[in-house]
Amino acid sequence: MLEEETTLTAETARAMRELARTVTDAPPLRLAPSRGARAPRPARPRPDGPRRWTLWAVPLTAAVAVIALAVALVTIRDLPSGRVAPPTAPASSPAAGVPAYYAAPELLCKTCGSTRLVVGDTFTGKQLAAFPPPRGTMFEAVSAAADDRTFVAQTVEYPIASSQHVMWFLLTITPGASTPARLTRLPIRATPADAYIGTIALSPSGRELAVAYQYHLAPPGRTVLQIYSVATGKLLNSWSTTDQDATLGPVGFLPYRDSNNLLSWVDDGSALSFTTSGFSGLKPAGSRVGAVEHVAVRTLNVAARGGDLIRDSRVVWSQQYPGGACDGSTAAQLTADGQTVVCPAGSTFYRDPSGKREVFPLAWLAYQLAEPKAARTLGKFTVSTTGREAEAVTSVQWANGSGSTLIVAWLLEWNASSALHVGLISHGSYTPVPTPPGISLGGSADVAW
Amino acid sequence: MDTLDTDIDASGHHRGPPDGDADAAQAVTALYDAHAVAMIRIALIMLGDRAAAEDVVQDAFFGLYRRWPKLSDRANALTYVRSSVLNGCRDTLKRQARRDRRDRAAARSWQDVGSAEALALIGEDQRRILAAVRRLPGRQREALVCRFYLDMSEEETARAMGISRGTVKSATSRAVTALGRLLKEGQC
Repeated sequence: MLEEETTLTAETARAMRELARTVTDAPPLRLAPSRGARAPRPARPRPDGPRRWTLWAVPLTAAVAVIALAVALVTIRDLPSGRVAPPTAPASSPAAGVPAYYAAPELLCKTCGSTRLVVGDTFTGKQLAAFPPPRGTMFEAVSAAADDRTFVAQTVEYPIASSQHVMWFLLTITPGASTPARLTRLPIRATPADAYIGTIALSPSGRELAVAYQYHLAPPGRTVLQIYSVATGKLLNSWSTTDQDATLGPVGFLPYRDSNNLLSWVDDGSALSFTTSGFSGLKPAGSRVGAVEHVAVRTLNVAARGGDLIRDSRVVWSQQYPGGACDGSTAAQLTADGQTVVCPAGSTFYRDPSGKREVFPLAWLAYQLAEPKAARTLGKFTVSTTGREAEAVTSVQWANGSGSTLIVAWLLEWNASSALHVGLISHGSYTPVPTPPGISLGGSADVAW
Repeated sequence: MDTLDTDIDASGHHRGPPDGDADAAQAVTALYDAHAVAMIRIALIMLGDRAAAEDVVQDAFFGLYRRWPKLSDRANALTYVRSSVLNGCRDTLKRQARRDRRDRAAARSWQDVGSAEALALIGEDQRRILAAVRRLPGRQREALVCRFYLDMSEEETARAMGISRGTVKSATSRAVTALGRLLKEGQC
């Protein structure tokens, strides 16, 4: 319980409860609108007026026009000091070394909670295949091997139950074949019912699957990392930790916060890399308010005997917050060669001189482990909006072995609108690619490349 | 003849349930007596303003009263009210946002929003957290309230907020991140 209370979310809940407790009574109910309510417009008979559908069609048309205008007002342009050319025409042909296909869970409908699994072409956006979820389940996560043809997908029960029964599937794609994609149930045993899976990572060979989960009942806060054989389902290795000062994930353990970049295989599949975060300078009461946070990238030798996840792994790179150049809310990712850490830069904004636009410089950074303090800018451009309450979120969705080419996503939200973009950053240029259907707002990496 | 569904009849009076449903007022009042405090608490966390919170809750119960005859599942009346409270908070926040430019709003402290009495009763750390919560975008704030104060599941939160489960996840995680940053950077 003490461990839980030291988390920011627990402190937030406690603060909310304290504020809530200050309300002990309510005024009498008035069965009329409050003084603050907007007065409804009186209805008027319209014997000769437009038919009913036109009454809502007018505001609908206006809304569409506003949205179109708002989208048009989001512009992309060079930053004077930027290294990167402005986004050009979308890529429609494959780029060397970039996965040509992705797999992603996609909502069955806009307001549905359940998802199907779709396979698409990175550069054309064309859908190769779509698999409905098995009855009573939804697709939750998917991870890719290095061959661009092999994926592992995972389902959970739907509607969401308090226990999380999990199933695993092998997805293989054969572009051009009469059946371009096949889904096969895997024999991997389910994780404990009271565990939340945080992230999964399929090894480059597609033979091993790493799964990180955290118990939410007993023992609370225990994080487990396990490696399974994809072919046999056999548990190959297991580590765990209850160390709350080095929790898995850049902002503590959150289910599926960064499915595909929180955990990655490096050095030809001989090691796993993952991000942890921790706090120092805690007050005696355990409060995290005002504490300094460290985000660290660690590596773990998967051939070694399992044990303690934190003690057995080693920090290869770290950054301290406040002050870190990477966006501390997204996992920094060690590339497959084990030499480079890539991350989106922390987002800031400023108002342009006219005061009418909010401008967001977006950038993606790389750090060589040999020079862990020296950031290299891989890509940089600005976006701006005339909307108020704007916010920009960036992420790295995929990185090649050396970190020289990235698939990135960025989201701009303003007023009630948002625009989500995906693009390639390579050799200093940014090229948009179609946005996969499964990618979620906020930059979470549910898409597997 | 086409008609519009509004709250006001041709004579300009607010419409309530038909006379035939005389139980509506009694039923809604009973619900209000039992749950108004809990609803005002939710709205207070969302808005940081007791008077505005009470207004939102009054409106939510008034909305329930108006719709009572048409309510197909009265057992879910509380769910309806809670959604109405969250919707009302969202509308209020939008109106506040329009009134206050973001820069100015960001510079405001929690104490400026009319809850000094309440704040006097809670600790310094909690005040700072609530000030940080107050600076989050409305959707993120709403997700935090649903997930951490109301202990709602992602699915329940998605239904209450009218968004997808994925958006609940991203809104929550971004809210937690932003909260941590605001607190650590000493901006609250």
